[in-house]
Amino acid sequence: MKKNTEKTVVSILLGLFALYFLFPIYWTLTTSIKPKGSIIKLPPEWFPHRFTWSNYAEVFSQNHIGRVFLNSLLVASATTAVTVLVTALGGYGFSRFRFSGRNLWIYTTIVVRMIPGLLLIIPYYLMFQKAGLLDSLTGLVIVYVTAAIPLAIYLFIGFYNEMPAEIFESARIDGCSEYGTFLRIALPLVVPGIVVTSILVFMGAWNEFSLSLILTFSDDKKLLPLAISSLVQTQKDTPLGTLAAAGTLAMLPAIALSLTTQKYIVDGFTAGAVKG
Amino acid sequence: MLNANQKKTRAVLGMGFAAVLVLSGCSGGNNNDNAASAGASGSASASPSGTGSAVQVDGPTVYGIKLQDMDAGGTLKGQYKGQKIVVATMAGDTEKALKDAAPYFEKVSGATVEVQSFPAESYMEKIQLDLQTNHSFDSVVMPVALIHGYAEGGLVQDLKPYIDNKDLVSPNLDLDDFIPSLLDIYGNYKSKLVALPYKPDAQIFFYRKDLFEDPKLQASFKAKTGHDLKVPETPDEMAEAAAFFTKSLNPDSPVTYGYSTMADNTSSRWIWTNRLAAFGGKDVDKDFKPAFNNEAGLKALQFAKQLTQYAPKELLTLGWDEANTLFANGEAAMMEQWPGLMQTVEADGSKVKGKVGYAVTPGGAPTMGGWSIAMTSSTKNADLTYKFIEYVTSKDMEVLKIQDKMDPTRTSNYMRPELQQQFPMYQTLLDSLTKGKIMADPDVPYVSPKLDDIMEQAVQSVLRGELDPQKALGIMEKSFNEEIQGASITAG
Amino acid sequence: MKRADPSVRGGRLDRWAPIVFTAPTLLFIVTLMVFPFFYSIYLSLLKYKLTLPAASIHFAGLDNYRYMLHNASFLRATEWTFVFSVIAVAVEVTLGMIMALTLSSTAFGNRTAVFKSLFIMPLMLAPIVSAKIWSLLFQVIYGPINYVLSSLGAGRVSWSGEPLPAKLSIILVDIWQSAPFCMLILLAALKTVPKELTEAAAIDGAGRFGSFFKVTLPQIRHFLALVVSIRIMDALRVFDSVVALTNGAPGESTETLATVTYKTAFRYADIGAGSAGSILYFLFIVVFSLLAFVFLQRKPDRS
Repeated sequence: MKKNTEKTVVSILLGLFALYFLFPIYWTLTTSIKPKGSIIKLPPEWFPHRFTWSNYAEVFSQNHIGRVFLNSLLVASATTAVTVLVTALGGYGFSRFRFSGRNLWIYTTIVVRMIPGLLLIIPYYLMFQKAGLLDSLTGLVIVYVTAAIPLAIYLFIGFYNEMPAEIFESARIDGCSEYGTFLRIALPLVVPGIVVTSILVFMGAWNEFSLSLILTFSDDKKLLPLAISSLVQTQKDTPLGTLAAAGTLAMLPAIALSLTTQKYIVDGFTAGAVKG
Repeated sequence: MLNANQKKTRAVLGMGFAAVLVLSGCSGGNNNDNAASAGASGSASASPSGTGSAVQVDGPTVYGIKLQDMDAGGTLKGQYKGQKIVVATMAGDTEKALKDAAPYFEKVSGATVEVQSFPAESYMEKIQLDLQTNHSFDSVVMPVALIHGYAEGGLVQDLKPYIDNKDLVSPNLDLDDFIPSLLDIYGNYKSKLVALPYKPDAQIFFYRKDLFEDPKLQASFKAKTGHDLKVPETPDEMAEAAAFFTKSLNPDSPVTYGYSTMADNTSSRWIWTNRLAAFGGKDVDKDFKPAFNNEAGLKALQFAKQLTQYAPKELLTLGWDEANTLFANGEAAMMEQWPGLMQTVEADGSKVKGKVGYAVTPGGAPTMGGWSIAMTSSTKNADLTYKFIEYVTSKDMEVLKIQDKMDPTRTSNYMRPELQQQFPMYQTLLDSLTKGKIMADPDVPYVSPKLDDIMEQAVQSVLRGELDPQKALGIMEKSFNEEIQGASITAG
Repeated sequence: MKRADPSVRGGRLDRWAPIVFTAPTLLFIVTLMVFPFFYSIYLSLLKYKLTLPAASIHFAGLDNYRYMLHNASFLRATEWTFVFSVIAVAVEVTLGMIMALTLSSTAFGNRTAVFKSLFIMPLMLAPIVSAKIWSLLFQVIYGPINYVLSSLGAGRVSWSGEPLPAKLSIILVDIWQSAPFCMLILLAALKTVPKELTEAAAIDGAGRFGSFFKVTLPQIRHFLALVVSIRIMDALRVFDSVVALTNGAPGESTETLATVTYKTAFRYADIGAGSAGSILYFLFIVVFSLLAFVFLQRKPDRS
């Protein structure tokens, strides 16, 4: 009896959540396969009456679209790799060692996350202009890494804090250097944390828009969100089907990631934030 | 759960299918813009990329017109080999038009042209930032008011010296061929020619031909009002017709609304400016003083308010897509909009296909938009940049860019029978361009976007009924003066 | 939080270990966060309009701050951003909690696991796309939401035409985007609560709700503090959905701090005032998130 009530409640709630959280996704998917006249319509076409792949064809016919995908993949992957490398080290440093200024630096790293992006855009622009990094993917990776570091370092500190100090001590007694301890003991243990951080960082870089708008110029340096937003028009019809198709395609890596790694994310947070 | 999985599978399958379709579709060429791409690729393969001094480029045939002047009257002979220019603009049609013309220019000039484009919602900011700090653009294609701001700030330069340079200029330039008002409003700024017109724009009055020509409705209109039902030319006629076609005021009306337009908080001001000049007012005068806080401004604003009775009550939230869909669904008898509405009207699925006529906005002084092309002051390849500007605005190349919805800016192109036949709206557009007096964005350097927003706030408040028209004008004038004085611009 | 004392020395190189490990992180933070931040403070003290000739740039002291603090739009946006964040975050965390509890229910065994992946999809869609899709859903005349409402006899809601619905639509979209994130962290949090504790409480007659409030919540306090402070930081920055849904309309009632400072800095090309606004905005975020964090962390321990 009690079990049944719970089943009912759970089913109803799941149904409601699914409606709210998945309907817009469903709408994006169906819009992407609707012909032009069926998109803005009364009554709305809840299920597409006619299918068309022309929106996808349109996306693929855009100049440079392959290049844009590749750029995004490249930038997001490089950002993830560098961020994880830097913060896996940094988190260990902050977690294991007590040194002067440690707390100040940890707080600084967290507080800078609160800086509104707008505040950094102009300085970035001027700095990059001097450094010759405008319109370069390397430049983007550098700012994305910076943007990702605060959350990543926070997570990694949590992961390392979670590990019992004794294992490091015994490694030291066994004659490992600090670097050896990190490589042999800490690093293997932090792998689940690396997975979580990677996913979050990758997603962040994959979907970023404002910085890439300001810092890049040419078609062959464009990233996906920028290319997608170029479809949005203000003084003529926005090709909504094409926009939805592009959005769907852009979502694919993310969906693949979320389906395969959702378990790690939850586990990672469990490990990361307990003593955070 | 099962369902969700199926959906996923279907989506994945679909993607594969799409990819196959696309791959196999590539060789078939682009399915839309066929004239354009066929022309471009045809010529590209026809003329081997010779590097000799006399570069022959065979012009494409567009809209039945064989383009002749492909080398600017013989002044482009590959002499700019190795040089490169960057042209910046908004992503979309302007970008496409430039990209369509660039290959021809590259072939005859020997130079490389890179077109850089930024999203519609943020291109202004991006381009402004570069013009001021990074200086990587040689030419920009932007809305007229912004170009004038750049001119005031010394960011773009006078084209006259280049036009006067007999060794440089094309014999076919023919400045007088540009619609005179366009060349004056779009190009001239403080007695300098800071740009050439690139894309003209004017608010057009669209109406339902089938309704206005229906004898029964004509009779009923005559009976109700004592006047003949005809396409309105004055605001009074417009209001009368709008009332007649509004279902809430006339249950016999075949459509729901007499009037519609887009009036979200980026475009509602045009309902007002479409009548402002008609009543003898202006947004700002030549000395950058507000010229609307007067009888004309008041009448125009009251009229705008009156029009909202005939419009959907959601009028103030309608953006481009929704407003146009409403009209294409046959809900409104009349609509004021940019020429692009015609594409929605004539698209598949439109209920008013072939039933829509167009005229100059009632009052005869439509709001004008428009884009022009200018040369930055920081360009290092001034001659080449000038040649590019001249090239893309030349008589023949204007025909090429019609494919990207850039209407012509030259009188001679409006006179071409091939174009008149394929674009029946052109006569109306030409009339509108000739009669337009007020710009869509107030033509005041530096502060134009701010003035836009001030107008929007005031007009929206009036149309929502929160603010009395007279008061709104006062508030607007005060804010205008503050902003304009704050920018300390010297009068032209 | 006891760590080893690094004075147990190995090689000489080990002395440098703290620096070696943390240097890359700090290099990024200092050169690309701290330095640009101070540079922005400098910009905020300038009269610097992007449209005016470069020669017109000059030092203006605190003028920009005075201007922003007397700017009615900025003040109104501050108020709305604050209200928005409080409401949105409260609902998101509560909803995220309910979702996490629902998903950790064992009523259907393990079969609800797939919903975890499905519900985090809003996090994956590029904001530029989801904002546009929502704006389609919220269209007044042709939007599916209004269609459903009017079919139910409720009449069409003028979503971007009236202050309350406009605000509501922005909140709804933010919840949609962020409740899944809260759900993720709280799912993780629930996993850390030992089953024995909740069961013991249930046996003590606390009931399920009782044991949730008495045992589970205090146990996951740190997670709550974490999720609330992260969400507040981000909610205060709401931008994309506002631009896509209302563009500040009606009037300026839905302008947020992010949109106002953006407009000031870029649309009106006033870099000085925009920077000053952003710095005020930054202080606001810091104070507000820290307050939230401290408040939740210090909640009296009931166990």
